[in-house]
Amino acid sequence: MTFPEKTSLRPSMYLVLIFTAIIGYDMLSNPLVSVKALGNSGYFAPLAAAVPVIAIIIAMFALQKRFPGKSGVQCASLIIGNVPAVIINLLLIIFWRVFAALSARNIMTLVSTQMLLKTPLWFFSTIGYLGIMYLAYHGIESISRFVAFTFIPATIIIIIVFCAAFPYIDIRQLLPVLDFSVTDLIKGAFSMSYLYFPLILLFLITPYTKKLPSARRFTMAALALSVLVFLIQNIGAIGIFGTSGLNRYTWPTLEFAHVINIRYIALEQIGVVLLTVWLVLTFGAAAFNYWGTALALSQLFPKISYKMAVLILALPTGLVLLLPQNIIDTRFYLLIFERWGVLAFFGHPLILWLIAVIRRQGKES
Amino acid sequence: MGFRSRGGMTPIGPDPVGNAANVAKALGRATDLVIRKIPGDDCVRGDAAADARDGSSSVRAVVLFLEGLADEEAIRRHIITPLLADAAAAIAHFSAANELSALKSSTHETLETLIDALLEGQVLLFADGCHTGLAFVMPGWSLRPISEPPSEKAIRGPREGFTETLRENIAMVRRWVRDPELRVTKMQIGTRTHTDVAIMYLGDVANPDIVTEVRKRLAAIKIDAILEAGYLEQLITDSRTTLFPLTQATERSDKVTSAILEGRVAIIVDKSASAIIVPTTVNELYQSPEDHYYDFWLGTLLRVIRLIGNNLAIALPGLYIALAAVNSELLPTQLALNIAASRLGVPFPILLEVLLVELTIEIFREAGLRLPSTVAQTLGVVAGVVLGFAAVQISIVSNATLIVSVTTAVASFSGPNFQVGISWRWLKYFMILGGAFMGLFGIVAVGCFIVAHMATLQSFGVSYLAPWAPLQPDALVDAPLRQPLWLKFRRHSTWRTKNRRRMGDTRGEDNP
Repeated sequence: MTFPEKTSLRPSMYLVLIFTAIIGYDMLSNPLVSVKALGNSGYFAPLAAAVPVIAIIIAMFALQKRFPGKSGVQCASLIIGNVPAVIINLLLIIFWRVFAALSARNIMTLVSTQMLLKTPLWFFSTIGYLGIMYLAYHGIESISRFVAFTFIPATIIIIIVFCAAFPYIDIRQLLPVLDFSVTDLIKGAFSMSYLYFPLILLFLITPYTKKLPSARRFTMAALALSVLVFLIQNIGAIGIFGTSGLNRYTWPTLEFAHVINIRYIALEQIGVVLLTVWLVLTFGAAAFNYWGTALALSQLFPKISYKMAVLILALPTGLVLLLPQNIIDTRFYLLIFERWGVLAFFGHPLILWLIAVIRRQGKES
Repeated sequence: MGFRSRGGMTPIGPDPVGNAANVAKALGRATDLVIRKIPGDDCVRGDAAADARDGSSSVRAVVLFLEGLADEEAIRRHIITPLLADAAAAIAHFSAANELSALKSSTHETLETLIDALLEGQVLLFADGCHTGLAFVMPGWSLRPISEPPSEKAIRGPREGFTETLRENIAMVRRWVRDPELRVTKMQIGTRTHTDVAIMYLGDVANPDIVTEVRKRLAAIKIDAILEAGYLEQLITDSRTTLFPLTQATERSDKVTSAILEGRVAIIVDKSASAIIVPTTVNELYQSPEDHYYDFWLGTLLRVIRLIGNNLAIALPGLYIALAAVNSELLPTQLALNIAASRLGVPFPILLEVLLVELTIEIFREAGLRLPSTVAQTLGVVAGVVLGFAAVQISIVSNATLIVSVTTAVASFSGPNFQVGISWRWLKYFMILGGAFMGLFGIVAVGCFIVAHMATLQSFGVSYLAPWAPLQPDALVDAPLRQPLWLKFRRHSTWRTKNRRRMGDTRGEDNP
């Protein structure tokens, strides 16, 4: 006996979902990338990367306005025809799933090194992924509830931990401010843009609201909040370790949380609190990504139901997750995906929107 | 039966003795069926010969009831005595003026409906020459006095718990809510028990979709017997496999009233001292009406303490194992050393040790419920203190494990609902296994599984995680804090009520 809930995806849920998707992807190692691009001023990189992303968000909502009730995947076949749409969407789904699986592997390696050195990686990876599949299987309502439940405490704890590290910052490590050329800034923005790849999920969740302007505002707010968190985190990491010091660590954010020393607190290492809280966000983000790829697959091939798509994706995801031998392998593959991802995750919606505008397809406002 | 049957229903004949015989036959000559024959005037005069001569019955009326279910004194005073004094007048009065009479009665034309009434405890009257039967409501079964529910005690508030009588329970709620909008609809469930079930809600507040859904689910139940409200809970729940209670059971009349006033629906079952409240959320399970009897500060403190208690009841043993055995590097050095020192000499791995203590406590708890109250406390102290002390002395368990397990056991009672405590106890074992096999990651993974599962649940269309998920700011101010009463202008959006207004702007002197 079921009695469907009437609450749909409220605009405010866009804030929660998008923020979790972005933060739950890579929060612990991004200062490594930012200092490589902009040195001591690396904390500007996430901000610079966010600026072009605004255009992508606007394009995705504009696409939704032109084709109300259709997801990005469904729009594609209306804009460029069935066959090309199937090809590019299929490529996107494969790219997206492999990328998500490698990111998950990255996180599982982190768990292994920080918490479970002796436990076989496949064991806890399988447990974790089963949980993610379970949540994804129950659809966006369940995912949004999970994320909403964890969002407030997790965000508060993360910001508190980052702020608690501020007394340990050596201000000289952050100077000189704005010490980069425009070319460096563009390169930095490009290399950090991978942080915002999860925004591709907007491609699929925009049909879940009728209040598009409101949802767009909340999405922008999610982006702003993510940038704020990345900014605080990068300032903390660079301020504590400096550019050269940062390169010694695989997980610099975790390391900077480790320097926090609060006497008489129950746990010896605050870093673990941060990791624990972030893992919860990661769980929600991974389930959200899984939902996105499964839904895209089921929309691309209507004969495959959503739940069937969740099950179909399980084995390839598991294989990709366990394929890399170590963190060096994982990061190597991730780097390739991060470079090409700009085209896949941002280029795809942008090009579709541009074609729709040029051809005057869909509803014109 | 010797009567014409119309569509499976047996019409009542003019002969009261024959009707009584049919009833007795239908009940299998039940020995608790009492049949009182009211003799006719001839019979009273002793003119049996005249009676035999004209072939008429010498019995003017027959009264039937089931022993123990009807009030025999009332029957004698209000039915038998008037009938004996003047049978014709009394029957005329009962039949024609029963609506004006102080006696609550109903007229039936078929034997089956009369038998149903008899089984409910009503008194039947067959009159000579009448093709109808009368049923009088004269309950006489023994009632339990109203008392405070032992599992939901409160320091402040009414000491009034439900009893096993439906009409009394309904009356208790009616006494709180003197509003014509309080709707009570009854139905019978159970092909053999015909258990009365009442649905109560505020007509102008409760969401009509939820009310309809409650009715629909109750009407869909096909079962032979409903012995307790728990039967219904299991049959109307949104998920039959979940560990979490998706309906809220309570014995407190103030809790039911409070829920009705919030716009929720109460289901009260005859012969059950528990009422069911739907929909429910996990947020409701650590709240008590008592929170509102105190001021904001105390109410908030109580809620926060219960919330901490619930979390400890679920996670403490698992966290202890994770930190003591798997991720001991996370503990402050001195604490880690102290725990290790206390475990010196314990021959079991920590998982087994914790499970041993937990299992022992579970047995004590279960046995304690059934121990005679006079020895329960003494035996509890002896079992708890002496056994615990002895177990530590001979190094079967460590002091640290004992502290953790006892704290967990006490914390599991911090919630106002026993049923929820059992769910937490189940989850505790998942946490223990997670902590033992995967340390802190295991705790996080099991925690995520639990929240993920809760995120998939709903109770009558309401998210089980509301108001946290979906975020409902108006209701969030009341969870886990207790919103000041003078700020509760509106009903929470969680219940999707028709009318959200609760009170006017009740300003105090300090907020003019």
